[in-house]
Amino acid sequence: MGRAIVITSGKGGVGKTTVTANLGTALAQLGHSAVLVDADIGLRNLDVVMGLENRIVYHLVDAIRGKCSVQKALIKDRRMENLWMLPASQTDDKDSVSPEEMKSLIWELKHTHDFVLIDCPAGIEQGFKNAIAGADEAIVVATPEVSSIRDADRVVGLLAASDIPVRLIVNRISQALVKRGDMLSQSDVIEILALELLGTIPLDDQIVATTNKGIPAVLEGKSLAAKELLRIAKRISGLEVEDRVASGFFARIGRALGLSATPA
Amino acid sequence: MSSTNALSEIDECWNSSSDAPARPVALLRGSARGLEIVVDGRASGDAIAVAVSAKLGEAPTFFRGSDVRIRVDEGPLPLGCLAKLDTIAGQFELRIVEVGALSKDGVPHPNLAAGSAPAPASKTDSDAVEQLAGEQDPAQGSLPLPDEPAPVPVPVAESEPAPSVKAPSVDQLELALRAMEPEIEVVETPADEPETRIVIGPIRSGVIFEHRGHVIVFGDVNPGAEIRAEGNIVVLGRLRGTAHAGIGRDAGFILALRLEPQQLRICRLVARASEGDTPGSQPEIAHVTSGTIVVERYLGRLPGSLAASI
Repeated sequence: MGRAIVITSGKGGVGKTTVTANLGTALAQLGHSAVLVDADIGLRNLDVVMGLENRIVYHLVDAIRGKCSVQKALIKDRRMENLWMLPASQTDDKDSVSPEEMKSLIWELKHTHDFVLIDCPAGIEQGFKNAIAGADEAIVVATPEVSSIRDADRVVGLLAASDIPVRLIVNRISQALVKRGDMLSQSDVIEILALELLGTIPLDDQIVATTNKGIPAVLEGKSLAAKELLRIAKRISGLEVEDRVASGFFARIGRALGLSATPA
Repeated sequence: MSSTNALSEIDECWNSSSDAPARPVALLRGSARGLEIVVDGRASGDAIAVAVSAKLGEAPTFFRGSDVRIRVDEGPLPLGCLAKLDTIAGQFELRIVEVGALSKDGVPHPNLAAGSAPAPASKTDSDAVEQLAGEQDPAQGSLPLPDEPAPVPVPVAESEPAPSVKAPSVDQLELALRAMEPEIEVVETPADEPETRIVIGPIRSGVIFEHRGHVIVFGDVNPGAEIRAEGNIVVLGRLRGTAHAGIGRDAGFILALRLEPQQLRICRLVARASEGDTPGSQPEIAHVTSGTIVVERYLGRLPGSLAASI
């Protein structure tokens, strides 16, 4: 039986879809079978970020309404061996499905895949409730900004009320800005949210470029953000990952001189 | 009108019962406003003083530090009585904050002590006449209240004989008093006092936690979260959200290991940090002094007046 993980944030635009696409691709790279579910009915984006928009025939609402089987609605990624995606409908809205229907859909997908990643829409209304309905775990994505942290805190409260364990990804952090005091640090975020940290993804121009092209960054894998995403995927899959902080002699010297780019 | 009926009830009590025990000169009771001593204004000043002293003597340390209100039934107090009561209060470490009539129309009339005019329109003529004709004994020495006018003696209406004093039983009197005083209820403490609730934080944004008693939070209260309590609030963590203590009461405090709230509310007052304030790194306590919320370091003890308010 696979694991269903919902990626949520409360606030919009903090990187849920990008994280979902890249984590799914990275998990497939690690050999697991993964299906990405776009739960943002009416405002679908996951297909664009994955570069699969031209291949949509059926979507999630079709599958739930029985117009087609779930398997028929899945789109197989041509670049990865074990990666599928279930797109959302662009013409319906979030009240078109119920939490129960989502739950049975996700449950069905868990039988055939190791990981079911659910891309949650922004907000805390019906779309959110639908997205978390079938999830076993949650990942909250937050940027180091007060508004994002405030919304994430609200969402964590709602997830806790539904007994869903939560972990945190801090996205778009710039060590340079943190050092200047212009940006909250990773510890500031954790201080308020009080969650287990999965990883900290740096602000990275590569992400902007690859997202627009429909190529998940981890496919190319060289940018700092891609490396961190891969690391997070390893942690999710249960592998031991070394800490980002380099521990060699020169690295320690570098830290003492304030030269390294370790997280604050 | 209800007060007239109540009065006739009292008259019936007085007239109907035969072998009833003597009416107590002084009674202690609790009310919504705190400790009250109900005294019979018809008794002599000495009798009242002795009775009050005896009542308080039954539990000499229990009321220490309390504020107490004197309620005079069939007042005013005899001349000089208030001074005696003041002395007694001092002995038992009480503070008399108010002296008033055990009013039959439900409205307290403060400052009804020796020498003042009786409350208007709440007593029958014969009663009023009786009181004023009673002890005008300047030799006793009084505690004159400077603003009170000297009483005007009114001649006794000779046609009215004094009513036969057949004192009702204590229970009858209590019942009659309760009929007249619907708003003063005898509080059965402490059995129905709401408990203190312990909460494990963090309290997340968007959560409102309400409780009728005191609240202790082990953890943070995040911005966007609210704690509302009729009692006091203690946050063993960072208070970053909003806290409202003392709802519906006169006093309350909010204590936190790190006090960095969005808003503090105590009773009906609201406060927020001013622009230049930096959050302290020490435990701090917020409470009300002179009508404003003040925040001070918490050094291990509650500020003086707060302890009594719990």
